Amino acid sequence: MSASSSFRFTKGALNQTLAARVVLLGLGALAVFGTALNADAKPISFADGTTFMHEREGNMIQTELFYAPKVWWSIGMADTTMRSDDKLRETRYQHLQANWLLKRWNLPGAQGNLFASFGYGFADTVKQGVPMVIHPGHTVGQTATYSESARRYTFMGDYETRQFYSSFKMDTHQTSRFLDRTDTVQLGLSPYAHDYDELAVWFAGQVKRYRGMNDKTEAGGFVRLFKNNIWVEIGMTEGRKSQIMLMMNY
Amino acid sequence: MKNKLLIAVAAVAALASTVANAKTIQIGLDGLVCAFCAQGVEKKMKAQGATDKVFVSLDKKVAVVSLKDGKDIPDATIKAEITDAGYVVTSIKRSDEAFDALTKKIKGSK
Repeated sequence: MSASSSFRFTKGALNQTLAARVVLLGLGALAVFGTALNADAKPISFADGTTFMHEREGNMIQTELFYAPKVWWSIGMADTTMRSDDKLRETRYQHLQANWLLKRWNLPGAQGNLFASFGYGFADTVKQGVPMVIHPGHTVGQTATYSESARRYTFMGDYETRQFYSSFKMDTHQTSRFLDRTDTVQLGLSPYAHDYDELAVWFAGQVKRYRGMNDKTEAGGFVRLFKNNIWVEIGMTEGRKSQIMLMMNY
Repeated sequence: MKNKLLIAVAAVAALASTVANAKTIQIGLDGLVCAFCAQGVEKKMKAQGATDKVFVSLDKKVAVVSLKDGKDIPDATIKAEITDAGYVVTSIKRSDEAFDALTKKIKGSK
């Protein structure tokens, strides 16, 4: 399919999917906000907990909002925009997403968890430099946009004490055209064992393996500050790109 | 025989009185590692009608619940609520000790 035909298809698809998108995201918003506001606020780790996360890292911006009716599952929305390092492709994924706590290990002074997530929604992509044949022997680069259904699969685990933190995450966004996967490993240490009413300070490092939009492995480091229901991470990747994350539980 | 029965009734009444008059419940917990964990336990226990105040110590792996006058929370309810929050109850201990004194003692024993 040439870029121009893709573009025409996309324009039609955009119109066709607009109503469905509004309905889907509207239902998601209702599920999240409607229930959460009527319930006693709790963290995601508990029944009736709501979690908000916003992350900016390099070429990625992600906002997630989840409500957990029970400790073992939550539902909500994820909005992720990724841009390739060469700036030739940008995709925005918007999903309704369900998360499951597959297993939790509650140990004296430690906790381990395994989570899985599945999201279904839409992806809008703008891609530059898509070759289009004008006539035999003459090809030009075009800007194409694609709007299509998208899925997200996530599997993650963590183990932490009050001074040691480790986690892994496999995060895959997929459409009929694209498959963008990011695998992350994080290790963190806290210089002291914090208590509930104290500020927790963590120094953490991470390695991310990107496949799809970007194909690279990148390390980074960040400081995590954590008190009461607010969690902030500020750091930098080895490519000198800033990394900021805010998480709040209600 | 009658005296023994009276003594037994009195003993049961005294025991019941102690339980009913407990001012605080100290709950031992496994799995508490961060403020989010503590927050969840705190809110679960605060949601109980009999609860006046709640204190959670990550360091001591314990939650202390201050009870309203004449109120109590059954052990089964405590275990169910904590399990629902995602954690494990390791012990439940009732005490006549005042909430502030008990939490001060816990904080001071670091």
